[in-house]
Amino acid sequence: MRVQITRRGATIDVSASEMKELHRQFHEEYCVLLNEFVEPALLVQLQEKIAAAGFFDKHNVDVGDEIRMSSDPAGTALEFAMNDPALHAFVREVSGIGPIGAYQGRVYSLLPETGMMSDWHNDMVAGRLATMVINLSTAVYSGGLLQFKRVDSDEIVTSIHNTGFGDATLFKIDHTLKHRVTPITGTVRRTMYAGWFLDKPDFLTLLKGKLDAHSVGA
Amino acid sequence: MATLHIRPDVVYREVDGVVVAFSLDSGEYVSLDDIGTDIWRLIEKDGRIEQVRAAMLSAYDIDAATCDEELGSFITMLQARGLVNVDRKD
Repeated sequence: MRVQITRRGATIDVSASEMKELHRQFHEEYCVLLNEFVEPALLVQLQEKIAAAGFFDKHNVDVGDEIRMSSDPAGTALEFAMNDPALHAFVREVSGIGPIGAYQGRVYSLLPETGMMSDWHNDMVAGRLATMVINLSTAVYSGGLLQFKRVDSDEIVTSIHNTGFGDATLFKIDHTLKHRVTPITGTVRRTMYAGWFLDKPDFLTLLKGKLDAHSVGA
Repeated sequence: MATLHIRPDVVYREVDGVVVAFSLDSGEYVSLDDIGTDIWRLIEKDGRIEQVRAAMLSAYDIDAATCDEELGSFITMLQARGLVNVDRKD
């Protein structure tokens, strides 16, 4: 199986049996882990840009604190890569969600020894269909577990330590589920690209508004 | 012989049949037209400028002088936009 965003677009190579298992995981364990989701050659380029980018303090009400990357080409490149129709089709098949207009996300970090974390929440805002989080960290962090539970129970259903470089977690959101990220326990920061597949806006329409057309010989 | 290389910090794919490229260096998108997309595909396959030029002369009804002028202008644009490097040591 290969599900990967690359410099040249998304590569999706999933057999029927693999898709069936991903579908099961998504609905029974609420998430799937996609190894090496970001092509290593692209990941290196993104990490170099992120290392040089500015971050600002961000408080997410009722969730927790993080530092968030300021507007940067790395974020734009990720957004472009994440809005590949082939990837959207894969996500729809795994999750069963409706048509995707766009994926929108942000790069953020949880810093060690700060208590930064995300408390239990459900991501449920109008238009959000599913969540995907990509590990952009440059070293293996400790703590920072992504955990899931049902709202009517304290039992942790699934706990994911997404520390593989460029690995991604696609997960389900609805009103019966909550998730959180535990505090970092070591000395390594946890940097992620996190966001949502949305029913709108339409990415292609947004993209066309940004394009600067060039013709051969111009 | 010079060779064109798509830079490693460029993310691209075809959108509605033409190449859209984003440069992490410049932070800008560039959308190519049909001919630009054909040339981009040639660069991906074999970036040697002589090979690209020969393929263009074969594919389009243009004379050598026009081809050289348009290809040169296009390569200059790709370089200026941070999309390709030209390796002149090959």
